[in-house]
Parts: sequence; C-alpha cells; structure tokens
Amino acid sequence: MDRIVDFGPPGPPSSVYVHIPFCRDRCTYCAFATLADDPARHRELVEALELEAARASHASLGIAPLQTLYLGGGTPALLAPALLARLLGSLKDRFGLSPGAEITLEANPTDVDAAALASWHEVGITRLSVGIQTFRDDVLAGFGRHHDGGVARAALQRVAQRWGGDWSADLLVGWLGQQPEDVRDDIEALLGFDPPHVAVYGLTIEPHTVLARLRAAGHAVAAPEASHPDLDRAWSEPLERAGYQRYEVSNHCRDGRRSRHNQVYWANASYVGLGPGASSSVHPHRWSNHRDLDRYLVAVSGVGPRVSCEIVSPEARLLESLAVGLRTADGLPTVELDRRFTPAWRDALGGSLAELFAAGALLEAGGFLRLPASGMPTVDRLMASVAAACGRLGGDGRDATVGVI
Amino acid sequence: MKQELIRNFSIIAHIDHGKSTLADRLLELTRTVELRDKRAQLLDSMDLERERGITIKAAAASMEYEKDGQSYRLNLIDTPGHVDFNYEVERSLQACEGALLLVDATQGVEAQTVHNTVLADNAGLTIIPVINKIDVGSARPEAVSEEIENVLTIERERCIGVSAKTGEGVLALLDRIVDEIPPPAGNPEGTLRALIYDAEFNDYRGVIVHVRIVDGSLNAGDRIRMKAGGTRHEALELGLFRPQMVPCKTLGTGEVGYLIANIKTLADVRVGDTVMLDKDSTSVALPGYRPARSMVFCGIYPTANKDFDILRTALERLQLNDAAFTFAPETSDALGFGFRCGFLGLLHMEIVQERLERESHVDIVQTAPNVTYEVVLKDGTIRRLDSPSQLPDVMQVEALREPMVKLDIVTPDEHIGSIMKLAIERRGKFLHREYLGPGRVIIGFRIPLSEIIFDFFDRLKSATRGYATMDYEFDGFDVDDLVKMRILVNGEEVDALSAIVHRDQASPKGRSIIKVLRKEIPRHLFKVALQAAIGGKIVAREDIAPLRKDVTSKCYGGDISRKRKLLEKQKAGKKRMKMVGSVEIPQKAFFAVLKGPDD
Ligand SMILES: Nc1nc2c(ncn2[C@@H]2O[C@H](COP(=O)(O)OP(=O)(O)OP(=O)(O)O)[C@@H](O)[C@H]2O)c(=O)[nH]1
Ligand SMILES: C[S@@+](CC[C@H](N)C(=O)[O-])C[C@H]1O[C@@H](n2cnc3c(N)ncnc32)[C@H](O)[C@@H]1O
Ligand code: SF4
Ligand SMILES: [Mg+2]
Repeated sequence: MDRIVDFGPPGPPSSVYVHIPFCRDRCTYCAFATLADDPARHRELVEALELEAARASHASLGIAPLQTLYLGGGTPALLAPALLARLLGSLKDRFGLSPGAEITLEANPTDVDAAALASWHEVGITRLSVGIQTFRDDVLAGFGRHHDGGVARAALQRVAQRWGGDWSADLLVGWLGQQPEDVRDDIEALLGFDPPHVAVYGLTIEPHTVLARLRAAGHAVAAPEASHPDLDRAWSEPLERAGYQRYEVSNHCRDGRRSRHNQVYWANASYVGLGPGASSSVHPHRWSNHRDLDRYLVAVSGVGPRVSCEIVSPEARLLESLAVGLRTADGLPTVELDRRFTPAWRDALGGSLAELFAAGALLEAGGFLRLPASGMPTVDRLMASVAAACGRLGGDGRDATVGVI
Repeated sequence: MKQELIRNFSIIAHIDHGKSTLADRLLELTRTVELRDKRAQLLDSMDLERERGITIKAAAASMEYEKDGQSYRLNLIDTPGHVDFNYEVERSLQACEGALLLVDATQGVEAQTVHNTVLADNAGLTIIPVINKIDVGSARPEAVSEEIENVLTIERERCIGVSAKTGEGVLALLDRIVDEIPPPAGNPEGTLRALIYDAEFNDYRGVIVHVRIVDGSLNAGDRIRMKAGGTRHEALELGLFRPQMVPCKTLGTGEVGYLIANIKTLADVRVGDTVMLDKDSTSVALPGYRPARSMVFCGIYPTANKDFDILRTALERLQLNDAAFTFAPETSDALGFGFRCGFLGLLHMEIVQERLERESHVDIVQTAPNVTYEVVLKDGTIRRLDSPSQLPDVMQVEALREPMVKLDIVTPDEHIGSIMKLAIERRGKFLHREYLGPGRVIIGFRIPLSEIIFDFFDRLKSATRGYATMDYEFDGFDVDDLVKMRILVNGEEVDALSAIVHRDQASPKGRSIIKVLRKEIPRHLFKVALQAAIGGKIVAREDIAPLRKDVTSKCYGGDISRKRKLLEKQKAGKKRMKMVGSVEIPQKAFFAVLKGPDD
C-alpha cells in the first residue's frame, strides 16, 4: 500500500457513549459487558463515571459540546430517575451540550411504564431504543429475556402514545427454527406501533455466550445460513413497502429520523466511551476500558480505566472507514476521503477499486462512494477483497502508552 | 582404517518392513550410540520423517564392530522404502558392496522387495536376506523364506531371522555382514577419486558433501577440485557420520563420510560428480549416476511475486539435497512467475512442497500435477511436454504420446478379479501372473503412468482391504487418443488447471474437475461460471451462485476495531488465493482438482 496520511475526522469529538452494565438477567446470546443488577452499586458507578468524565475533559481530547449522548448497556433504564438526572447533569457540566443534542437511552420493555417515560423526558432524554427482539413468548423465554410478547406490546403501546420524542425498536432475526412467516409476523406487529426507527439485527453467536457453549456441545442454536436470504427478504420488503429507508445495513427509519449517534460510528469519526467495557476513538488513537466493573472502579480512581490503547495507522483507518461507511446507503463522500486521507487513498487501495467498479460491486456517483442497494448485505465480503488488495493494515505495531492520553 | 576391515552396506526393503528400526539396533549393539541417546528410528532425523513415520532421505552411519579380536568399520546406509524414493536407494547402493534385504515376517515379499532386489543385483552387491519381526505372533518365517527363494531366487538357507524390535538375531547378523560382504575394492595407492552421493546445505558451514572414497585417500587441508563442476576448494573438515558428524583427519579408500570446504555456491556441488585432488589433472571421472527422470510435474508459484527470488534459492537448496527433484522457470497467465517442478511421484511432490514451506517460509501456490508427455510434430520432431500449457497448436501436432509403466502388484489371490477390473478401467494391459507361494500372487500390467499416479494406490488398497502392494518402472511412451482439456473461469482460461486427458474420458474428467472447483471456490459478489472445454466444445459447466448476504450484526463503536481484526484475518487467508480476472481461486482448489471428488 502506498503511504497515505490521516488528517483525522473533520472535527473534535462531540459524541459520548456511556455504558451501564447492570441487567436483570443475562440473555443467552449477549456478549456485552453486563452483570447481575445490584441497585446498591448504582451510585458507585455513577460516581466513577463522573470521575472518568472529569479526567476525559481534563485530558487533551478536545471534547466539544456534545451533539449526541448515548446511554447504552446493559440496561441503563434500571437507574433511578434521580441518579440518571445526576449523571446527565454532570456530563452536561463537564462537556457542554449543543442545542438540539440527541440523548438516547436504551430500555428493555419491562422498564417502560408511564412513570418512567415521564421521568426520562424530564431528565432530558430525547430518544428511546427499545429492545423487543421478537414477540414470540417461547423464543423470548428461551433467550432468557425478562419480558414476553404481551409486555413488549404494552411497552410499545405506551411509547407510541405517550413518548413525544424519537424512538426505535430492535428486532433479532435468525433464531433457531425461525421461518419467514415468523419474521413477517414480528415486523407486522412492530409496524402496528408506527415506530420512527427500526433496527433489525441478525443473531450472531458471540464467543463466551450461552449459545456459543451450546453450539460447541453440538446443538443447533440458530437458523441455518441457507435460510438467511429468505428471512432477510421477509423483513426488508415489508419495511420498504411501509416507507422505511434502509439507511444502514440493519437500520431503517421513516421521515429521515436517523440515529445521529450511530452515524458518528459509521463515519469513523471521533467519540469517547465512558464506563466498563466502553471503547473510544479519538484521532489517532483507539482504546477501551476494563470490562470488569470492580477493576473499572478501582482503575478510574487510580491509573485510569483503559486496558488497551493503540495508534491506528492511516492505512488501517482508511480500511475501517470503508468497512463502516459502505454499510450506509449514502456511502462515503469522496471529498471527505480526499480531505482526510489525501487523494492518494485511491492508489493506496491498489487495483481493487477498478476491479470492483468494473464488476458493478462498487459505485461512485454524485460525489459518493457506495454499494449498489443489492450489495449492502455483502459488504464484509467486499471489504475482504479490498483489504487483500492493499498492503499493510492493522495498528502501527506501536502501542501507545495508556497514560499518554 | 585398513580397506579389508571396511564393510559398506545399505538396508533395503519394502516400506515399513523395519529398516530404520534395524538401523537403531545395529547402532546400539555396536555402541555407536549410547542407550541414553536412544529414540526410535534415530536415522530419520527430519521432522517430516518423524511425523510421518517414514524415511524420506537415505542416511549414513559409521560403526565399529569387533569380531574374533579384529575391529571392523561398518558403514550403513538406511534407505527409504516408498516407490517415490527409489532414486535414493539406487544412489545409496552405488556407494556399497552389500545390501541387507529386509522382509517382514508377517507380510512376506512385497512389490518393493522385488524391485529393490533387482536394483541391488544390478549394482552387483552381495545380498543378505533378513527376515524381520520374528517376535510377532503372526510371523511366518518359513513361508516367507520360501517366497524369497521362489520369487527372488535367493536360497532359503541364506535367510536370517531377526527382530529389529527386540534385537534378537542382530548380533549374528553383524557377524554375517563381516563374513559375507566383501571389503571395498578400489586402489589405495591411486590418486583420489571420491563419489559425491549426497549433499546438504548448512547456513553456517556451506555445502556438506557426502562422499564415498573410491580410490586413494582424502586428507584435511587437501586442495580439491570437482571433476565436472571444475571448481576448486580446500578440504577444511572431513569426518564420519556417527550418526552425527564427527571430524577426522583422513578418509581412506572405501570409506564413507563427509567433506566441508566452505562451499557457498550451491551449483558447485553436483550429486554424482567426482571429487579429486586439484593437482591430479589427468584422473578419470567416476561413472556417476544416471540422471533421475522426473515423471510428474506441477507448477510452484510464490503467492507474492516479490518472493520469486527467495523461492528460487529455496528450490536450489532443496535440489542439492534431493537430486531427483528438478525445476525450471515458467510463466503462467493466471499465476505469474514461478517454476515447473519435476518429481518421481506424488508423495515426492507432497514432501517437496512441505519441505519448501518449512525450510524457507515462502507461501506457495501449487498447480495440479500432470505426467510428462511427448508430442510428435508434423515435421517429425519430438518434443517433451512437462506442462499441458506447452502443447503447440493442434495444426502442428501429429500425435501425442504418454509415458507407460510396468506395474507389479503383489496380492492375496482372492483379489485378482477386482485388481484386473481396476487395471483395465485404467487402460492397463495384463502382462503376467505368478504365484509367490500358496495364495499369494504377483500380477504384471502395462499401464499409462497418468492412470496410476493420482489415486490408483488408494483404490487398490480399498479393493484389496489393504493387502495389495505395488511398484512400477518406466517403460517408454505410447501414442493414444489424447486431447487437451481447458478450464475456463468466467470465460478466462486458467492455464494452470488445463490437463491432457484421454478423449473417452474427457467428459467425466471435465465434470469431476468442475465439480471440485465448484466446491473449493468461494462464492463471489457475482455469478462465477466454470467450464471445461475440449477445443471449442464445452464438455462440462457449472455456476457458483453469487453470495447474497454476509452481514447482519449490529455495528456499534466497539465493533470497529473488531471489524479491522477480522479484515486482517481474512487478508491473511487470501494470501493463499490467486486472482483470475476478478475471481479468487484458493490454492487448495488447484490441489483438490487432482484428488477428484470425495465420493
Ligand atoms: N514387532 C516388531 N515391530 C517392528 C520390528 N521392526 C520394525 N517394527 C515396527 O514396524 C514399523 C516400521 O518400522 P520402520 O523401521 O520405520 O520401517 P522402515 O522400513 O524404515 O520404513 P520406511 O523407511 O518408511 O520404508 C514401526 O512401527 C516399527 O516399530 C520388529 O522386529 N518387530
Ligand atoms: C446489547 S442490547 C442493550 C439493550 C438492552 N439491554 C436490550 O437487551 O434490549 C442492544 C441490542 O443489541 C442486539 N444484540 C445483542 N446481542 C446480539 C447478538 N448476539 N446478535 C445480534 N444482535 C445482538 C439486540 O438486538 C439488542 O436489542
Ligand atoms: S441483551 Fe440486553 S438485557 Fe440481555 S443481557 Fe444483553 S444487555 Fe442485558
Ligand atoms: Mg525407514
């Protein structure tokens, strides 16, 4: 690969992710940093997050007033309104908040009652993301979810009627035994609540999960790969018919109501993550925190919570940018690629671009580099070809000292 | 060491009859190795030999043995048993006066036993027939000695029973080696002539030359010259294999040992050449070896073009240590710059590939192997074809000839029927059949080499529940109705996959190749069409449907570095891919083509 440079994303980081690891139970497919809920420890966590935020704002990260703030998990909706208010207040004091900032809260159906909705609105949450997964009782029970189809419907009913702000619902597709009709039933039920935003995630068997252990023991744990194209059509077609735009591989919205926070990831721009297991990317670094809550807590008040930190080479950044940017319907603006990596980025990709253009697997039109609509589901394969065509990738082999930042 | 006190011998046998194990016992009973150094098959020193439990390289060792108050120097060469390494056996025999012919008492005379006996006879060696594994319950030494007499025409009274495992009978065998194998001839007063019978490269010491002193003697410090190569060197160190290298001052007439002369240029040393003293410009070269005749060829290419030179050096080093292996540069449209390499058989090819990867760390792509052909042109000239892609335009071709072999199969007689069927399916012609003893026969065929090198042995084994053994030797070229089959991937010819096949077998062969490719080539973002063609006619076709989906998962912030790690992994995987147009063909697809469909 020819040498290129990385001038970094257009602006300073103005997005923060906060990880709240507590959950009632652990779902069988989930590999996120979570632990059994313990309300007695909520305060301790919030205090640590405040400390981490303070350190981040003192470090030379140049965090600008926040455009997006995402409270994810785990189950951040488990935090009592007062504690949530305190946390949001502290973050606002530390970093500042842009007018019209997007503040998202992830919530499980069980947590969505009228009082909660009111309090979330009160503390400044502008957007909810509700993890439905499916409406099928047996499947939810099998996953170890804390709600059934009825609770999911009731929660959505409340959100649709009382929540004035933006919101989204997540569905999980590809579970064991799932048929295209099952997918259509879930989508139909969900669309009945007229969600502004829908995310459909294919079930991934992550290492160290219950499902991974079952699979290792020889059990079937998911729908066979051969059925995926049919399952996918069963959600993508109804969503399209209902007027939703598939603006990213798994994300759909109506009336342009996209998730602004996630778009920061897909633009490979800078963001700061706080909390156990959270990861951050601030040009030219990338790092992540201790996943274990106890270690995180100890480290925050001592040497700092980061377990790994690397300097991402320009070549690796370029590939990352393509890998995530091509997941979006818009694709990547070429002027921005030219600015960030200099126009040499094309040469750096070797002959791969020309070949992919010729095969129609990649398009460049109207100043954007993007996939044809039919190419979205195969972006990873395409990226594998692009990566193979260029030389070095990966970190620079230089590990930045954890304390530097 | 006085010449009449030296005995040089090889241990020869069918594969697994216990040669290397017998060598262990000989080394142990002569106290050449201490009991504490002991590990099984000590002379199989390459990792590859130990992993596979077979001998690949002949290995020498010198021992001292006392008989009737007299100390003798015994030089043994342990040889490989597999057909593909016959050439190693042949070379070893030329450095010896005697051979221990091992026959497994539970198996009896096998195809390779017959072949090796002929080789030892032709070289004029004294053969001591040794019946091994007499410790095993199912041993039948009587029946085996009868087979030895009937088939090999060696009197049964001369057989000696041993167990290479327990050591039983091995001391008696040592006595017979001293008594029966003649000391080396050669003229101790003559000018130095030493035969180079093997060589290897050492990073620190340069080429280590394995020599047998035929006439005269070689002293450390001598100025020497390679007769054919013409290069001059100083003999810096001489020594014996015990079996590790132990230096000595002199190697006398009839002795076997090594020579180090700071030789860094591999081409300076040729196996079969004669080492002489620089000042003796008049001495005559030893006959040397008949060149090994490679019969199986394949292309070997570096996955990265920049590795071409590294690969060349690696091939040169390997050739020094494996005189039966040949190579020449070639260019392929699909694969770029590489080498056409010649081997004695498929196992040989596999071993070379593995040694290359282990000893040189170059990533290589290997094409489907083919046998060598002869093409007779309209103007009467005959050309050798080591690759189907070298086939001239059809208009110039009068005929194509393929290599034939004489194939011997040894089997219990109840399997004669299925062996006949198999051989005839493979265009074999029956030649003869003889009984070795009750219930065991040897059957001879004349058959095209191309029909037996790939999967014939596996088929033979399954048709005879593992009982049959086989051996073959080259027997000229025959004309047949042979055609070139081209393989097209999305309309582009992949020269490295084309093959010469018999016209009657073109369609089924084409279908089976296409079927294998369909399995081995991953799905692409577009449809991939696979075709097999004879001339302009498509004889087989299949499509690989495009990939419809590969992502589904959530992509959040923490995922981005994970994505990159995945890309790194995939990128490493793709090092073993070759691009044909915009289609990626994995290296294993080239190799799988030869193996045919699994079913
Ligand atoms: N029971 C018994 N087993 C033996 C004897 N000699 C050899 N073996 C076994 O037979 C197998 C083959 O022995 P090797 O010495 O490797 O045979 P080889 O002839 O050198 O084989 P190649 O070099 O591959 O041709 C090993 O498992 C030995 O342990 C013996 O006298 N008795
Ligand atoms: C990690 S959860 C956090 C939010 C909340 N605790 C919940 O369960 O809804 C966010 C979303 O990630 C998705 N997800 C989690 N694990 C997944 C997996 N193994 N495969 C696919 N999607 C997964 C689910 O759709 C889930 O709604
Ligand atoms: S899916 Fe959500 S609720 Fe279930 S364990 Fe993961 S974070 Fe917790
Ligand atoms: Mg052996």
